[in-house]
Amino acid sequence: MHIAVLIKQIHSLGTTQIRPAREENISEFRINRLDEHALEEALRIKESLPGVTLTLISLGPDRVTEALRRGLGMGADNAIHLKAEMEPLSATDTAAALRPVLKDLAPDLIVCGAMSEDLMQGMTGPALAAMLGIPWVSQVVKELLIHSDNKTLEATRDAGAGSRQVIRLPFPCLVTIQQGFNIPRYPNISHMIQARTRPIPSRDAPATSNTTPVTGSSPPTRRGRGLRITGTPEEQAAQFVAYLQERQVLKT
Amino acid sequence: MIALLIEMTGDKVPDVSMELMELALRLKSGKPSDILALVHGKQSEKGAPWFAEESGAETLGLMGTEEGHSAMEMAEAFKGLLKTRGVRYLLFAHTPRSMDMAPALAIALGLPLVSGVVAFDRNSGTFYRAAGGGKLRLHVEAPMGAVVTLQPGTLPSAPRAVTPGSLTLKRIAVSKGPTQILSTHARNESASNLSGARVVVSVGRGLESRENLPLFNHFAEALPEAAKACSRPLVDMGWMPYPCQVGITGTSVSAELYIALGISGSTQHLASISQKTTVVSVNRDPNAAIHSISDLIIETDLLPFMKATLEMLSAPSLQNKKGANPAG
Repeated sequence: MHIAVLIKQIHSLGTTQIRPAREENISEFRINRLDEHALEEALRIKESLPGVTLTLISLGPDRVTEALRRGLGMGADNAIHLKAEMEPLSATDTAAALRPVLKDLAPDLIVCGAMSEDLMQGMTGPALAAMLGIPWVSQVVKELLIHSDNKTLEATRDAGAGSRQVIRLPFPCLVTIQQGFNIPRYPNISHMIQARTRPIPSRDAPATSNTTPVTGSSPPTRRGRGLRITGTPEEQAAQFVAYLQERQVLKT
Repeated sequence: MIALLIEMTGDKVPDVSMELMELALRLKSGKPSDILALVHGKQSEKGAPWFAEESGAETLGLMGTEEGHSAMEMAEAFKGLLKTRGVRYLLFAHTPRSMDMAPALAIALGLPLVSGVVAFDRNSGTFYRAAGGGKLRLHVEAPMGAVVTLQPGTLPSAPRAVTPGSLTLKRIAVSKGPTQILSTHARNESASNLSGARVVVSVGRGLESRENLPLFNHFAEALPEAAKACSRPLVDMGWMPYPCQVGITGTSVSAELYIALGISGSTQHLASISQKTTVVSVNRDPNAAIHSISDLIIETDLLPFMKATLEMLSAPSLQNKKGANPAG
């Protein structure tokens, strides 16, 4: 079985880059947390079944090779860097950029995080599956159950409003993973040493159109007075207590 | 043509449906009857007449989509209908369900996708969408049409229509795809008192470790009549039970006061806090998104702040004064 894991590299502060950067400090970037959970689930499957190969794919500038190396250090077999000046900002644009490489690889299973921490769209996985014409299941909250025929899997998903669904779907398919049921492992030192020197194959992302051009950015609109309280924790606590008294949550 | 895709929640038309109507009216100045609304899901035959009357939109109540269909199958069923009507803008509420349906329909209709919209400027035709974990808004243009998902609670509701819209009830055929839903069940956990509470004290990742939960519990219990809540990661990590989760996939809050402790404020979280709720935020990140909706911003490390507050509340001068004043 061949599993492809899609990983997005994000800025540690969760900031969104809206144009290609000239200089970037690699140490400020990390793998999107939910993608790490997706990779961990793929590694669990690889360890529990014979003959599973795991390929990592990341789309973005050269710095994303660092995320791929970490994934190799965690135990993935292969990595592909899909070169682009920056990460697209729309889920369908991202999916369009990923589609050709996945069409070529034709994995049995594609896994990725349920959303990225910066854009929180939760739509890249479903968009990619829809483009590839394969079934998908999103927001998976439990270990996947691969049937012994290696042709179908069963997934438990968060269906919103507190309900859970169990879904069966045939390979090839795509699964998006939520956090909460596994703990991503640390990279293994000997894997990491190998990954450091290993060349990472790259190919250019297809020139897809930017379907929803970003014309600018601004801070979120303010709601509430936004009164900032500074000082020592004791001073802040005193002002907080006074505020609660003022609002009659606490009696004066 | 502008179309709204409205899914019933339980047997109700969700509040966000009239916010979608407002966005549609801002997108295209014209009569409400020029807008097409597709109402689907459980008891859509009851929800659709209400929406036609309330919004004035041409309303199609679609039956036969109630249970057991995957988003892929539903998208396939809606595709033909939307194509025939020449839909250029298709508007959804940004919910877990639409995260599946919206991209599938965007691809099927060949339209771009603009997700997580929080505002729209009708003069420039600019959509504002949340990014950077809620710390930033991207200005996006889609003049040729788009599939748009709107964060609930960010736009006012459209005014009630003077003339009711036309209503058609129609059965829609959903063909079976390759996925099979084996079961759907509600989580078996007792309901929380979150939705009715006057004060909600909510905690997030700023708590740092599970060992600090008793500190949070003491803090919340020191505030009379306060309900306890949390952000999603704490439920996922098993620190707090699901009914305490505030967010699009959890409970919405309409309390008078929401005290957010160590919560960064993702768009999914913020969308579930009512516009009427006053927010106090405690977070050491000066740029945390939660601060943007906050009345009182306490920029500090959570743990020393909670300890200092508890000490102050246990001081004799406050000890005998604690207690809510129901007379307000």
